[in-house]
Amino acid sequence: MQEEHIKHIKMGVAGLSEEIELRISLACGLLAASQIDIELQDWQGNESDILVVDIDSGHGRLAYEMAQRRNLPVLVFPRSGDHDTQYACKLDRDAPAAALARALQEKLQSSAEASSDDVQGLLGICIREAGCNQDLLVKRGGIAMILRHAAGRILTRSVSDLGLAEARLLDGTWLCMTRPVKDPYEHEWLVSRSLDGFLIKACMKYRESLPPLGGKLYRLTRWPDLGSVTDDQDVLRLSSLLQRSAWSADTLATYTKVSADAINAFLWATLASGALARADGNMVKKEGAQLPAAPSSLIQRVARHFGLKLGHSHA
Amino acid sequence: MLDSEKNIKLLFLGPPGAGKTTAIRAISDTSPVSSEVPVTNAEPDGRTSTTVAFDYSTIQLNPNETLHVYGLPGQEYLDFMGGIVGPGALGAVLLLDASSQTLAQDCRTAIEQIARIDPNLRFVIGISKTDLTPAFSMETMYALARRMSLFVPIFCIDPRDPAQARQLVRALLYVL
Repeated sequence: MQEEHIKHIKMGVAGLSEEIELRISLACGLLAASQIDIELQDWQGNESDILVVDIDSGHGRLAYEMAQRRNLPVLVFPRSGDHDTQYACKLDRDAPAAALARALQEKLQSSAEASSDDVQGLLGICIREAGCNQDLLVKRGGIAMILRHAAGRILTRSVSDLGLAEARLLDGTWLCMTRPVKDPYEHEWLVSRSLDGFLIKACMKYRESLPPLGGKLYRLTRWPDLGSVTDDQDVLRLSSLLQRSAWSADTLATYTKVSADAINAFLWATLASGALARADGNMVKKEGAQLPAAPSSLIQRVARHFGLKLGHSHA
Repeated sequence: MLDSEKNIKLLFLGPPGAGKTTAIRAISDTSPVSSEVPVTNAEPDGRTSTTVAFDYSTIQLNPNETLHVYGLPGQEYLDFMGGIVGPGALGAVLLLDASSQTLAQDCRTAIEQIARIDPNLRFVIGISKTDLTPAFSMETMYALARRMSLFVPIFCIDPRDPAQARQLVRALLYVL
């Protein structure tokens, strides 16, 4: 194994019986085949990347609470006979080492994937303030803009400022503050554009720099405003699929043959505008479950005239 | 249910001044036959003409097939035309004017008009003049869509821009 591709993980265990700890140890051994090297240690509050705890024991319960406070990923063996408790990541006490290995790998993978803290700049501001109902003033150097998330609009002094803002999407020097509206006409002289359209175009420019969203499932809560995104036909297709069912970036790329970084950029943009949301695993029966029926030949002919290729794998 | 393939129809609906005639002109091969007359009194939105029947234009899909594009009038007294022209249409583009003081009601009225033509008729929504209306908020439209349990594309467009007018039709094709 090439050293640089091996992932080194420190796993703390707390409150596990000898027999369960042995199975966890075997599971960690199995993960070596996936280039994951796990150093197992009895957890005493020491630094760990992930914890495995048994809630049946006092030590395990204490470790679980500490993990929650420290925002550590944690896998839980729930109380014996307790099937209803809502732990985010439960392990089966009777599961063999192979099943435990799969659960560990899944947890390690989801913990490593990108979160909203991984992006900075104007995009990071948009993501973190996606639920904000107030106008936000964002500034960077000579560029000043008003983000109106709820309204789905972005306001600037000039069209060229929009272009400059797009070019500095991930720049970490953007400042943000709320801006109460004093006068309903104060924005009258500003250039107003779709926030969805701005974010999609800007993210596409930075597609190679955005962290991968990977295996998490997402779904559109509404169609994004694509009125001004006329140069990119793929965004219509992606929107059509994501509003029907939940998809991960990886599976979308496989199904649509659209480049992975373009899909990733689209997901980041729609996350930032509030159109996209994580899909709860309980709500998702099967990824990509609702595929559209094949279009009639008539619709295909109309689509061809408008520059679309609708066919067997169309959205 | 679609009409005979000899009569492929696309509808544009919406209140007066939303840009239906302009959008049809932007996407069609031929200049629309327009039933526009000069307005006798100045319109608040600056229009100098208004449609008094309907617009009609064509798009040649191939040598043997024509897409007939109809722009249904926005005036309430001409609502009956929807029942004559509309049945059998592929789908509809609903155009609204962001500067209207009654945007939500305009939308509701137009959706009811679509439902009278065909309750199963798929449609998309385009909103014009959003760049000229600082107070415009998409939340008005999203809230209305939630109340009416609609999950349709709602795009801000400039109907004068052929690419943006076509974008609405493309979105419609994805929801058919």
